[in-house]
Amino acid sequence: MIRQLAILAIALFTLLAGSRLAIAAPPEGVGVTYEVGYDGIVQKGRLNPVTVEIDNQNPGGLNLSGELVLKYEGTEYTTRLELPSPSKKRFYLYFPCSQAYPQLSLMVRTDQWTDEMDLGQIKTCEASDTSIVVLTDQPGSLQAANQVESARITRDEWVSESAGMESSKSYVSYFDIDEVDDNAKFFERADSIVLADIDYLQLDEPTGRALMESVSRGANLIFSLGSNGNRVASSPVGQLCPMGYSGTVETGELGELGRRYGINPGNALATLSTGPLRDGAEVVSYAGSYPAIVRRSWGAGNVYALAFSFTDRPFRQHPGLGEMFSDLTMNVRNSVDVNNWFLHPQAIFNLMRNLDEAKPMDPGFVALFIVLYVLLIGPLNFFVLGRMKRSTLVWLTIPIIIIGFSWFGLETGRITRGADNVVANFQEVHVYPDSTLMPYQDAMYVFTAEPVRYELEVQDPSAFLYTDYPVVSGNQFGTQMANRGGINPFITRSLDNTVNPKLNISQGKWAAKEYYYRGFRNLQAVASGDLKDTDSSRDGSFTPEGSFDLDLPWALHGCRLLGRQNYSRDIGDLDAKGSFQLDQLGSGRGSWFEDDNYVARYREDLLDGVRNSMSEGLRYSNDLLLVGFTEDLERLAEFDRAHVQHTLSMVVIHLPCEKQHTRSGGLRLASNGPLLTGGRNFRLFQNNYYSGFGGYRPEYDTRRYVVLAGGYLEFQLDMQGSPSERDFMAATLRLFSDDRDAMMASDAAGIATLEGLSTNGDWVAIPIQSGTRDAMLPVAELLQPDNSITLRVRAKTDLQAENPEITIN
Amino acid sequence: MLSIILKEYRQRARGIATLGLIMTYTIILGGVSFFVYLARYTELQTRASTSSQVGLALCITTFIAQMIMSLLLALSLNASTIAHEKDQDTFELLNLTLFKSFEIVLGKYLSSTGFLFLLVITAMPIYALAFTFGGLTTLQFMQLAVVVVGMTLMISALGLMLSLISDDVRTALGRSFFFLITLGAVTLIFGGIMKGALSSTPPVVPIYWLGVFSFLMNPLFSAMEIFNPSVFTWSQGPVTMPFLMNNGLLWIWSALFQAVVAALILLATTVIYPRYRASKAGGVG
Repeated sequence: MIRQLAILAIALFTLLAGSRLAIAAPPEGVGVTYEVGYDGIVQKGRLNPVTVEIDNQNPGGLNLSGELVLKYEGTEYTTRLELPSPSKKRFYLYFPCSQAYPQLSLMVRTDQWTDEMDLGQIKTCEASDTSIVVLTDQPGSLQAANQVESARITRDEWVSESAGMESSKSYVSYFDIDEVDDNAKFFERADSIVLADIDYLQLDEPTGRALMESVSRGANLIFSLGSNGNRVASSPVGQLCPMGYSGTVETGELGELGRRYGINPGNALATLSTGPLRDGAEVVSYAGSYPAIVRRSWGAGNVYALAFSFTDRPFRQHPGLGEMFSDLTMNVRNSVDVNNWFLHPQAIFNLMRNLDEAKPMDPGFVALFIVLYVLLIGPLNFFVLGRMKRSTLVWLTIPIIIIGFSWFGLETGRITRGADNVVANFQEVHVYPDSTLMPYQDAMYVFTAEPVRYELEVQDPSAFLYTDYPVVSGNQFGTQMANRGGINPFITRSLDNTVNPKLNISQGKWAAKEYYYRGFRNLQAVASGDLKDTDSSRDGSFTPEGSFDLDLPWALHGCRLLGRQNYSRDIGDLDAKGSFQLDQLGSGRGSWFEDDNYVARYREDLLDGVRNSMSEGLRYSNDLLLVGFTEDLERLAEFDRAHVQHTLSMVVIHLPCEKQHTRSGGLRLASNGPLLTGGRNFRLFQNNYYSGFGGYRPEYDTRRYVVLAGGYLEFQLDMQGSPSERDFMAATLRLFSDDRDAMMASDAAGIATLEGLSTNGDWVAIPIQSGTRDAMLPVAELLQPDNSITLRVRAKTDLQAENPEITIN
Repeated sequence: MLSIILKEYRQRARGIATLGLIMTYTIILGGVSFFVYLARYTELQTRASTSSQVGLALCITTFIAQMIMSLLLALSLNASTIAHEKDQDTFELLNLTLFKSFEIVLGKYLSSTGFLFLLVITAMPIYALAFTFGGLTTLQFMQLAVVVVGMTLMISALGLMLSLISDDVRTALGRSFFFLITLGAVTLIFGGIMKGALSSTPPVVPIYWLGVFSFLMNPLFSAMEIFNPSVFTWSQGPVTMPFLMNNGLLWIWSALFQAVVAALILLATTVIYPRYRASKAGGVG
């Protein structure tokens, strides 16, 4: 465990030190070992330990008495040293690291022995990096989480248009339980402390207190239970665990947890600890019907209970653990993935425009209202009272009419829109097939009578403030764009918060300075489709056929299917669950909007500089979008409930529709299928030069993605055709260096790996030929029962990538 | 005094002028709102404007139209209230009654301002339209109402006084509008100078107090602050500004000030009323 061992001889040190003060040689039988930081790495901006172990086996019975001193930047950090012979003792010194590669020296000052040691070059990690301390008997058990890179959005509160993105790595260090200092300082640097398969009998009261103190100060404590559940429950930290213990179950179904992190148990059964949830605990993730990850707050920190042991099969050394622990460390929960790929096509804009709830009142109705009022309060009122010879009652009837019409005016919204007059919250939810990811965006105050001074508390501000594509700061991947009006995806040019602010974001709930853009919203919504474009004509026309299945928590109304080439088809109301055949969904074969092709339209819009009006990403895909509305969807954010009158949700379900095109003698590929990413990839936003415009204009690169180190692009090939041809398939990786316009990397193996999902559910590495970008695909090993193969291009470093080219050699 | 008020109300209820006034008033207000909405309708459809922006625009235009009409009506109604009696030669008869001067003044004042307040609330349904779009709060609406009330009280009192000291309606109206236009122009000028000074250099003392007076007298400044609370914020360093600035309470100060001014004018009218009563009575005698 301890990496660096140094037993220093006075004679040697004197030689090295030269002119230094003469130092006594270490007494016979005295040895010193030390370790700086956590597994040899210190972190800037935090308190870091230096662990010193001194073994005094002096045969003469020499007792050492004095002090141990750590010197850093002129400051001495001291601890008392009392070491009788024979004895061995561990000392902890702490220093606040303020710079990279700190220069440290360790001094022993005793009556019998004085020494000074230069601790040499010390590795550092950045202050923004995260640290995971694993208490375990199995070092290396969480290797998948080491150096995992995560992106986060940073926001400068003082500059309204400032949003940058930075990436940070997570550093995992391993310790035996008996190495832990008795005070909480040892965990000072840790963002997460993982209690893996330790011997809980060794976890004594002082260590338990230290853990509690660390958590209460903001760290995450993660229990890995599995078959250890009972030992955890009876340990000194058992009360911290958000899940009690009642037994274990074995399951081969990891459900949503498995899908989220790509963990397929295969033939291995996972052992899950089960038990009641403690007060305040919530289930973050389920494995089938069993809680898999449970969380609860403790002080300023969080405690997680993994119902499984990540050191046992099928989790052991699984690459998905990297993402999982990254999520836990960053406390990604109840959050959303704004990594949406989707740009509103014109058809969706048309739908929104015609929303009953959002339609502006017809001017004719307004005119009728006013005319009616004038007639009633004036001539009619006076005429009727005159005929009744009660003209003086006019002073009574006028106020009555005024009050009546005032009420009527306020109710006009209900009459004209068929819903509550005030729609305070409009949210949009995207459902991807076979995925629990639900990117969404919220558009607030479509209609609200009280638009000022709202307090809004959101878990993931990026989703609200920056629904736009998070642009990597700097010029590495493109210039940073202003996030104007990110709160409203419509063409409302800006959220006017300069005068009479329409929305005040309450910062009260946001303790962290960084806001993580990625995350998941854990809703059990499933959509899948078996749709094909059967139109074989080459004019780009679109005739989808097939069926799709829905398993949603909400019934949808006002549904419409949208596809490329402005394909649109009203299909009315849909039940939450069921299988739907496209042919039977409605009459007609779809309609064509009169507008221009929406893709072209949006490209123009981008060039017109109104990209702020739309969400990120333009996807030239064959997907069908099923768009419907519901009032049943729970609110994604908490508003001041006193003002929320009505919430309307638009659900956009992405249904993959196979695009048939034939290549090489009958082998059909559908490489435009659902493309997933590792959650830390971005659509590339590039500047293209347009001479006519006199400069660079920003545009989305429609094919290329930014993939940060550790992230991946995942894609699926639907293969049909002659089996013999499959044996000759090769993938050519289309990777680009960080310099966005540089030529394609010629040695892809140096910057990326290719993985394929094997038939037993494991991801297997597919070797890329050195010096090339090519890899032969072991199709027989990868071919799934549904005739598809799934590949991943995983980035070793930050890069740009496109879908690989699949060819037949 | 009550009998005077009742008589006035009875007379107004039976008169065709009241119907005409109410209709004209609501048609103008409704028309202004409608045309503003029509102008912004396309923007709403294309989502170039938010509904709250349209609601705010509706509210502001309705308020401005209402304020202008209230000013004109308050002046013309009150300026003619006693002068009309003189024109009709009923002023002497009124003076022969046992009503005391303050009863006549207050009776005339309350009957005309009561009618004006009725006209003011007649605009409520129009405001209700604006509320369906959002853009202003109920509090802002109340503040605007307070501003209109304060202004109506003051202008009505002024009109009544001018009505008393004028020999006929035409003279009273002429004097009233001259006074109103002068007051509006002067307060706009000094208020504007004051507002300009807020964003550049500290105003000198005379300019400051003239500005404060203008802010208090001219309801436009109160409305500006209601719609934009920071419009009169002093931003040029540590200068201590008296009560009016930086607190968003100009509307209430202005309304209170105008109510006090109205009371003083009414008091003055009551004080000088016997002189006109005596001279007219003497003339008859």
